[in-house]
Amino acid sequence: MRKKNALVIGIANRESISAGIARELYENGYRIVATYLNEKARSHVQGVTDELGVDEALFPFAVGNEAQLDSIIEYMQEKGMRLDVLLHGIAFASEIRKELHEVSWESFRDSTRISAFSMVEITRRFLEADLLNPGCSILTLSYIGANLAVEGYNMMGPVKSILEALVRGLASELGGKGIRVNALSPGPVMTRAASGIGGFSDLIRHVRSATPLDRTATLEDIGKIAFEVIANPSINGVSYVVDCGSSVLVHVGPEPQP
Amino acid sequence: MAERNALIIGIRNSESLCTTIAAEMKRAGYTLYATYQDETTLGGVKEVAGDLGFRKIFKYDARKSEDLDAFVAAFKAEGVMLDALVHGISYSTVSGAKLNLPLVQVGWDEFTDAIRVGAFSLVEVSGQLLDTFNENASVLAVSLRWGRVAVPNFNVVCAAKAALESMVRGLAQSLGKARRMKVNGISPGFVPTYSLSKVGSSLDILERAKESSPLKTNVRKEDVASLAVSVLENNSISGMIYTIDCGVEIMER
Repeated sequence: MRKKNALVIGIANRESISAGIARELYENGYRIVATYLNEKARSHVQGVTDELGVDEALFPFAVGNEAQLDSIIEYMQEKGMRLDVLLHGIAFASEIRKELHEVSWESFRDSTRISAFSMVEITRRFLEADLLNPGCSILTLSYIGANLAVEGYNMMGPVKSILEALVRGLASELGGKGIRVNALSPGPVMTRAASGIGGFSDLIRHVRSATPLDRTATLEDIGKIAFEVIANPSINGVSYVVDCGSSVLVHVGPEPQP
Repeated sequence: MAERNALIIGIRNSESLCTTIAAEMKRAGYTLYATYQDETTLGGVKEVAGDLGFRKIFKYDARKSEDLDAFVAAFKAEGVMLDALVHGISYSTVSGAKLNLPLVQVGWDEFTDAIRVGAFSLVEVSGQLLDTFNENASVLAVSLRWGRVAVPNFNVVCAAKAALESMVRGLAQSLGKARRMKVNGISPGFVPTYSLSKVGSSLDILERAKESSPLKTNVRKEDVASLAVSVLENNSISGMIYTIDCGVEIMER
């Protein structure tokens, strides 16, 4: 019988980072409640969640749709479930292909809500419904573009900076309830979300050449350190970069021959 | 599973953070080797070595080249290949270390001792033992937030920690190139050790840390050890310094 519960928001398909983390949670005995963005995404998400015993605990959720959150909350109340893990792995930027100086306020605002502030909104709803267990761990997914200007990442850099500041803010506010809030900042992984980023395959190539390990972070490794962060009671308010060292190592000289 | 070997530099007694890390590594299946500084700490290290079943301990005072040479030669004579190296020594616990001085009163000799013990020893040991590391082996250094802030009268230790963190990145590059090794650091909040008692009243320091943590808790050594092993065994993590401090660092003060 699975006694601990995790709500996973951010699975698009089996390559999603959230899917990798959900698998790790499932293997460690968590019961998974998951969401999908819309009907178009549903079958892809179900392909992942079917293997994680999610079954009926799969809900549509788009940021801003309070009624959809109501449904998840009602379901959990009926089942007598409270959350031990809240995984926030969603991001969107309509003008991701534009250079930062070309981005409209409307796009930046919407992206900030979906990719960053939604963590606060979702947390607030579950707090108000008293569905967060003491010791609950909130984890979100960031990217080194929050700290460095990464070509092609454009408007998402500042949005992820906002997200990481919200991690620190929530961590400081919710610590009194025993709730921890952290971020994981993986190196580039070929996900559905990443496919929207311009020059992504060039980025992967660059990252591989920056690290002597000649590889990028794997979904499995990301899942493992995610679980450590989620389960470790002394880790709070951090953003751990998992990128084979590529963001701190400066490669000089020709690209290694393939 | 094939035998995995780890070398741990930084155990003084059963209270040492490296002792807890060693215990966790033992649970994870590593065969352990360790060093001790000198005769004054031999008793404490022997006790830990007995408790955790270390294969062997070596004398290594990181200030002394002759110690380094002898230790490296003795380790190589063991004929084992390493999968992990943990470095957790700091100048603050070295016998005879002159601590609690403003920088302007610190002499060059003490300064070089602090840097060699607290930082460069990581380069020396990993470099000289390079041939004994397996491909994909992992190095972990124990740092401290002090590497990024100024601490009155302890800025020598701060400089050493700053150097250590930079060496983590440098070694991630050079050992990565040489043998695809990973090199990382962890930066724990204060935990009760001999080292902490050397920098002030442990109780006061821990109480203050607890108060400034949003969780109102102190970091547990077991949690640091759990993170240490997670980082050591993760093939996608290199060049990083991971803070584990119950959130103390994020608070305005």
